[in-house]
Amino acid sequence: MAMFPIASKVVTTTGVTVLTFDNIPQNYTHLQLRGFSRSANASSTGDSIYLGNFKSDNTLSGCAYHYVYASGSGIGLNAYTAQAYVVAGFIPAAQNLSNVFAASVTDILDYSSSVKNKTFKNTVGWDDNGTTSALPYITFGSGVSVYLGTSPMTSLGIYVNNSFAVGTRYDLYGVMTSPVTGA
Amino acid sequence: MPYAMVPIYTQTVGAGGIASITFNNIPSTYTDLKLMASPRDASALIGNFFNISFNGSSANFSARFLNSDGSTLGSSAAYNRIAGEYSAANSTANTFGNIEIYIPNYTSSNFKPYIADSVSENNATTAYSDITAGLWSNAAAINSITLAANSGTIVQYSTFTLYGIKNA
Repeated sequence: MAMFPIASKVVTTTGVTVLTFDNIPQNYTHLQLRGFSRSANASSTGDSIYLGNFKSDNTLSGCAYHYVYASGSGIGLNAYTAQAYVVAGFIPAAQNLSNVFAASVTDILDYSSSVKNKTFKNTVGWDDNGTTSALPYITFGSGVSVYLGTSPMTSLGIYVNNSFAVGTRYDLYGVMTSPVTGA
Repeated sequence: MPYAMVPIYTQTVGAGGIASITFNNIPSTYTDLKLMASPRDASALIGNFFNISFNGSSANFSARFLNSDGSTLGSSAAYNRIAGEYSAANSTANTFGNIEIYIPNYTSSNFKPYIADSVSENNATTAYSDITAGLWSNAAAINSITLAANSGTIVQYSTFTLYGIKNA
């Protein structure tokens, strides 16, 4: 078996602004984060989802990220350095069609390595059946924390503007590798 | 209870680097294959890419990708065996790429499609992200996979794992 559930975070009350996976076990090789998420921001139809706090010290610093996107407004790309977080993508917010959540998958390979920076691969997207013209969004992109550097990743925080909608869920999985090379 | 996803092989590049990695003797007992890679290249580039081969053959491949370099979006069919872009020597030190290649129905007598999604990272504007769809126009079951750096050397600590995916 390759993939093991580590922990789940489910939003059951209002006012939750961050979901944190602490004390991530170091015995897997890779991590996969899967999400079902919506923002409770009553002033917006869509919000960014941010990843940070990778070192269990609540420091938000030293991140670079890049993504391509398609939305109701068109297609584009962005590149950022010296940011507090990795932006993983965009999720629907309270002004959007009810009951619509975004789906997301983030892969973090060799997260416990002491010689490699950790490169995130993020896919986040949703559709709202034509409710909004400028949204929805699909993003595909990457991120790295220069602050975390080559230290093992021991925590993972997921942040949103305002707060998460009730029903938001993130699941963290550990992925194993094989002792056989097949070379 | 049978497992849906099983790690078959893992290779980690040692000191001195290597031009390519090959998984041989792939069991025919799964439905699909998934390859996850965390590579870096020694080439004097910000990003490099892999060329994929099946069963030792580089013939009868075609591919199209959508990509970004941090400044420009593009699409091309010029690289017929491309299977993921990743970080190289001129990108931020110690930063490796993140690649997933999916090969469904690898033992069927149909031609073999594959999809790859990949990112490199770099603490600067230029970094690469790709989504690729490829085809091996060959009816043979896949029993080996090679990923070769388009140029240069895959460096130490690069990792590659091949997973078998079993359906119900």
